[in-house]
Amino acid sequence: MKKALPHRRVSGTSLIARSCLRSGALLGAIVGGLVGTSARAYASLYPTTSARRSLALAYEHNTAMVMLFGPAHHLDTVAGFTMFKAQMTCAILAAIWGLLTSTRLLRGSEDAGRTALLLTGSTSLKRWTGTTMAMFTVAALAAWVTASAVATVFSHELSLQRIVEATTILLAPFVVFLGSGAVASQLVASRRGAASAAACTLALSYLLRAVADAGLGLHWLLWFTPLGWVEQLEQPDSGWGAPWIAIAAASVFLGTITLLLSGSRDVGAGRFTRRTTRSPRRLLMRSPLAFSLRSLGASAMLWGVIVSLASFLYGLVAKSAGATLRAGSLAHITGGLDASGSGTAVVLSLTSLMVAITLSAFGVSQLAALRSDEAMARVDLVLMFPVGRSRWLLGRLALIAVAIIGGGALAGLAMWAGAALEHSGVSVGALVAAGCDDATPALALVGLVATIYGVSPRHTVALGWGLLIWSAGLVLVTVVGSVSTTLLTTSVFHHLSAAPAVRVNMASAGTMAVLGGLGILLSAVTFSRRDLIHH
Amino acid sequence: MDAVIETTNLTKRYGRTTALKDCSLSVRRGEVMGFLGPNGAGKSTMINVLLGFARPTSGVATIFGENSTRRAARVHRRLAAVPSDVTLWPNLTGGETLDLFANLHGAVDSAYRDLLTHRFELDPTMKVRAYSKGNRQKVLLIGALMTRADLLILDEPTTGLDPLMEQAFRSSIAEAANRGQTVFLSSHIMSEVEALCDRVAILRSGELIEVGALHELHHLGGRHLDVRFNGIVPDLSRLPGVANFTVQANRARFEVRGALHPILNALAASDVITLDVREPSLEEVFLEHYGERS
Repeated sequence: MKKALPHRRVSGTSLIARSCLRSGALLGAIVGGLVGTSARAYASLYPTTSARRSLALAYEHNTAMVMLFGPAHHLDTVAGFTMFKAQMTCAILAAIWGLLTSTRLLRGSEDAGRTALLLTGSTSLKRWTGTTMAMFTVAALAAWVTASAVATVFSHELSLQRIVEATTILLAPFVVFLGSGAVASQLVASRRGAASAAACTLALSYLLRAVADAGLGLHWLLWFTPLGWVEQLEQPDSGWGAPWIAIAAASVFLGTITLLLSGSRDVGAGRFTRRTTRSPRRLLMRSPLAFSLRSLGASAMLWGVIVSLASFLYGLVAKSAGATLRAGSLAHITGGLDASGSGTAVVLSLTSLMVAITLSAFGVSQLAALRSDEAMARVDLVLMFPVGRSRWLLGRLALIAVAIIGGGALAGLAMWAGAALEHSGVSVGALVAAGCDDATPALALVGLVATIYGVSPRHTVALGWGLLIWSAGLVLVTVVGSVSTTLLTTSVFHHLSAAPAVRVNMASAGTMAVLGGLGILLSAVTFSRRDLIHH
Repeated sequence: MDAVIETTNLTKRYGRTTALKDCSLSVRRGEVMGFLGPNGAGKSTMINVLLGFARPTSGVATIFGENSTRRAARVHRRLAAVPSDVTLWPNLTGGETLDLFANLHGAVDSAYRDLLTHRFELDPTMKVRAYSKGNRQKVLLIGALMTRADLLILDEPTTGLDPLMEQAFRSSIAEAANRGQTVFLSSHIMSEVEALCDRVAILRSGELIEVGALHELHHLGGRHLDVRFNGIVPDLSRLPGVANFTVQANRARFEVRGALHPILNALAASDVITLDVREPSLEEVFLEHYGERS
């Protein structure tokens, strides 16, 4: 018999509050970690005044860099560098986190029918939406407190006051895009649709900010985008009042609109009507493998575009970024990465590491999707036909592996295109080889997580993401600090060659690819010998 | 070999919970077998084992003489199923889902698919996301029936269907039976099982407690008598086999198990206006016989 769980009083509000707390704390930990490690990295990479001055000279008037990452102020100080390094990454991450959190809690809950269940009690959709939005303050507070605490632990170079200021600014987009996601959840009647609509507003916001920073005399555009407000908060001369008023006003406005919309629509419906019918699209439906490709395709393409675009942009700035690294700093990074070579090559190696982490994240997300399909019994719908279990899983995992290798090659090519535009002098062969090499730790991780899926499917998601965070965390810490070698060997990314700064280590790459392949085979065998597990 | 489904001492445990215990069952070619049991009795577990989705802890299940676990893909060539609690792909239309099922199965009767789509009044151009629960169930039903497979395994197939569609389902199953297809039907709806099935197996707490033809099961329950008297109602409650004796004005209602002649003798001595004797329904048998034991 199953063990009875102790009785706990659970209400819809407490469940939402708990979810907000978890989501906020996790975002806070990541933002705090980025702020803390950026400050530490600056102190160790640019220890002298002259090094800091040359960095400031290289970045502060580089229009391309300003368009991509926002303006750089006071790069000769720890606080200035930290804000520059973390601002756009954290702001975009916080915005995405915000819109995903609100669409999950509002529209996702409605999609799953939980909201309808709650509304059978003594509450209305408007009141429930209001309660959920009130709980968003828990998420924001949890993010802010955790980010400040984590950044304080990681960095001794910044004062507590500067840390609190930084985390407050960097998390402001989280609040605005919680509101943006909430409005989208009222307008579009599916979680995916609502998240996509909110993501479009984020993309528009980023684009407007980039145009405003392009030096075309359109700086006033910054007032029309939340990312612009955040950027203005970082400008020491502009004063804090107006941007904060804009952020607060936008949040209140979006909250009010959400409440008004929720009070005037049906449960499960959106303000925008969707097409519910269409003529048949029979492409990629002829076999289980083709259908797996159809399911994987859109997601793989999206990840491919993101990783290629990011690789292109980093390729574009690699030369100027590499030039700012002095010999001592270079030695520190190359020591951490076990690399050698010019500053440009080292920056491309770091980019390559990021590509490997992104490809691994894609692999883990696909295995999480596979587990979700089994939990929702969609796998049953395929396997109730004359389809072999091992063969079906092998096909699906092989497609993931091919997408990872393709993504790596594409990223290498995009990196080269960016670097070539700046005449960085790195060959296409070296960067495509680096990109393909990036796929090998992702393959090893996919093999490992696939084995977990084959043996214990319920643990796939937690262990998969846990292994990725562990591996990535360890190797990223080595770039700014030191980690014991024994511990480091447990990270798949530690075994990645720092190409193009060094030649690809074929033995290491081959071993990881073979391990990945073996993991995939093992998962197919174990999958065929276990029960399908739902829920 | 006459048996299409054959299970021998089939046992399935999940940790300390025994979902199926020593179930031995045989379903003959061409018959419609009803599979009854209260919630949590193990019906879906049995179907999962038959479909090869779950491996038995001990015992064997064979379909068309092949081990249903080890040779699942081979067995599935000759069967079609409607599993319970599945989630269709929300972005596909009903028609695309049926196309996919047809491709995965290999061969379907297209004309029959069109007939079923018309019979079940399904709009195949609609996205699954926009379907009601009943319409999603129709997609699964059409998907199974259009294959004209030798064996249909149906787990709660009429969940969410309205009475008119239930009627459509019954006629489709009757057609399948007439064509010689074997049907294994797990259901809660006794009237459905009673209308469609040749034999019934009843599962409780993982154990098969009854397997037999419907008329055999009817004898497990008492006959229902409804008698209207001209004058005072005699006390028949002490007669052998009489149970649940109730009187309302000049009318007595009761059940009789065993021989009827002591009752008829007693009634002959009274002034009877009307006498109605009826066999118990399957639902009454189920509730009385198995409800008491549980």
